[in-house]
Amino acid sequence: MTESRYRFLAALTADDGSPIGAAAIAPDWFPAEEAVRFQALRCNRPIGAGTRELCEPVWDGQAGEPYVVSVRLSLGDDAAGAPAALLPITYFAPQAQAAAAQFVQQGKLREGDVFRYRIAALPLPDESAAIGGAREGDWIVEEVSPSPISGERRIAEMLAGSRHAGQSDEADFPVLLPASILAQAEELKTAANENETGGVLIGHLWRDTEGPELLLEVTALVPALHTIAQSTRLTFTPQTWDAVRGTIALRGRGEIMCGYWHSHPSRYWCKCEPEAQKSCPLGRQFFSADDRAVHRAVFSRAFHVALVTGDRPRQEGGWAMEHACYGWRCGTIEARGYHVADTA
Amino acid sequence: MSQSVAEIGPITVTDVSGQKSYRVEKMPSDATVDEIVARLLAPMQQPTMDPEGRPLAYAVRSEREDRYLGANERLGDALQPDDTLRLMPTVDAGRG
Repeated sequence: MTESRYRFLAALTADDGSPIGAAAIAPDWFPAEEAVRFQALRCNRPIGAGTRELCEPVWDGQAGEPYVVSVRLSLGDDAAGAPAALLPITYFAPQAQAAAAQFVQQGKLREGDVFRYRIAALPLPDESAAIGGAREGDWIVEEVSPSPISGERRIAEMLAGSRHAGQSDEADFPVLLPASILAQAEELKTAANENETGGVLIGHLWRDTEGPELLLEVTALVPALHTIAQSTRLTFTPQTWDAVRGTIALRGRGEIMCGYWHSHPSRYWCKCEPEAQKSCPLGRQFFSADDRAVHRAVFSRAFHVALVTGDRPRQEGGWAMEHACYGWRCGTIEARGYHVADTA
Repeated sequence: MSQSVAEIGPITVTDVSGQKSYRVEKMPSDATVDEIVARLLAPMQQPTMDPEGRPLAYAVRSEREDRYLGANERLGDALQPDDTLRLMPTVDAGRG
């Protein structure tokens, strides 16, 4: 858990620069902690039991203290080269949004108004560090999570012959999935017509035999059962997760849940005239606030990914299906690249 | 005259995937399943609200009994030492 000698505030201004107010925020440090710990895992660097993450503001050189340009989270061992993550201001966007909702309730902001936000860090008055998360009274709660690594494989060999798709970022670890999963996703999306549909990605996290790097191999897309599907919403229920776990057990290959897939049937959402469809914003791939909430609630490990199959308007008219992959990067969910292996 | 409440544990509580796993001890046997969820979401760093600010619903599944536990069941009645419970949220993906 994160140790901080600061409390954080979101300072909101209107689009014209006039101040709206500042509100205390409680950042969700878990994705950032995950980013740092995954960095250590990728370096094969052991983390001592009870190691905490330390967060330090990086001051805004122009606006000065207490405003920050980013927050640095590092593993608390202070050793040179200790894994660390620089959290961008956008990391705090959900808390800024929550602060805006408070100001809407107070009548200082109107629903739908554009606002800007800055993040401020103020030293805690008693100089005692704040530990993220809640204390549990007399209960003893200790993390005993298993290693997610399935074993070792030669990553270069696994990636040989695959093609890269999506946005690449050299900081990302490689993700490999068979082309058959993309084909299956398209079939499921087509069969669901105007409704969203989804599934769970299962596979293995491998360590390279030639070095410390990791690779996520997605081996199957398990169609989600027991969901509630509508055109703009797909509800995953406890029974959905149960069914996936049953499938993993039946397959008996030691796979783990490594992400989720769902569809965006944009061609049914778009009500534009045919010519306007080509520039319809619904034709662009996106990962919504709801999608992010699913990812945070169920797929919060730093190696978890999400695959979305949406619709893209074709210049010659009509729609084509398009896949996009998302994953954690420095604690925020971003579009990311992946490797597609042709399957026999 | 005071009477001490028996304690339950240790048990293991995991997220859906089993990749976030926590050992929990010293829970009072008269606590309910609902209470264990409310008490454990923070240390497990699981979200409590959806993007609209509504509480997220978590079902609790007992691996040993292969069933969902009722919200008002007492831990002393429902659990045995070394049980594993899985927290299973209901979550919405979509355009919102």
